[in-house]
Amino acid sequence: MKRNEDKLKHALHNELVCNYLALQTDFPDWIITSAFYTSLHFISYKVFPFEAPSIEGGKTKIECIDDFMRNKGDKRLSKHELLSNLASKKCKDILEDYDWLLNMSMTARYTNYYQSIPVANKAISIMKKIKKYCIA
Amino acid sequence: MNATITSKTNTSNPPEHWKKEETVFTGDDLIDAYVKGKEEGKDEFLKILAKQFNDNIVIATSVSEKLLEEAEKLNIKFDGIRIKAEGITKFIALFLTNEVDFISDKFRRIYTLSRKLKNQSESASFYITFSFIPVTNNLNEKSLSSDGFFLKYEKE
Repeated sequence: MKRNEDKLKHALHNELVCNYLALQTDFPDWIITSAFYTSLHFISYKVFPFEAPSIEGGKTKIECIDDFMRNKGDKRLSKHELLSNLASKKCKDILEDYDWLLNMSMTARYTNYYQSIPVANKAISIMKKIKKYCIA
Repeated sequence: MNATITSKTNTSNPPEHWKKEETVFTGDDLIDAYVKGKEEGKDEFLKILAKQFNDNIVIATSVSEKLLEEAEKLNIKFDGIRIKAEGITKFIALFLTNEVDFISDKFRRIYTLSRKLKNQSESASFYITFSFIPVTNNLNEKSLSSDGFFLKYEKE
């Protein structure tokens, strides 16, 4: 099935933002956030589309996380959790890396959005690893 | 969930080594009743829900302690655990750690272990997400409280 090139464009667009922020030392929190949202779109590019059994019977094409939420998802889970669970099946080699970034994005408010440069650098290296895996 | 909860006696105590944070905002009457130590009332349906919730607290705390044990084997020490419930069947366990461990390569193993424990414990009536946060001196207790983290691990 043909991959969604718009997802790739969105990921590359976000990556430019992340790289731009990384030229300075004042925005480690936004570096982490942009690294996460870059990775999210790389993962989406890798995972979608695919076919899944539809609720009505037969098969349906799942093109994005919204389709997955409607057609198959556990209603208790957020779209972020669903995408992570999809990554656990379709992107096993970088699952822990994606979960690290997802985790950072979800918990930032509990540290008053303070993040250090080493943590931001880790986020960038993880994002680059995810990119390499997803566009290979 | 809008359930009428009558204030009587404290029937629900947290598992050993865990302490309730009684000033949290959970946005859920049944969870509030547990946190505030209110009796769940006479309604049979509410009693069933309260029992389910209590059973799930036991699962959430025990799998969190299991992850703590496994992390110690990797020489990763957590500075605390907080748990919140997003309803009766869905929980989040937040582990506080130090930055050096958090950005180390060995921490990857923690994510592998947490995913394994999550999958092993998952059922139609229970779901848990493990989350990790590098903490220096900037933990926002007000934010944790207003987000409903009502259980705190307190074993010395």
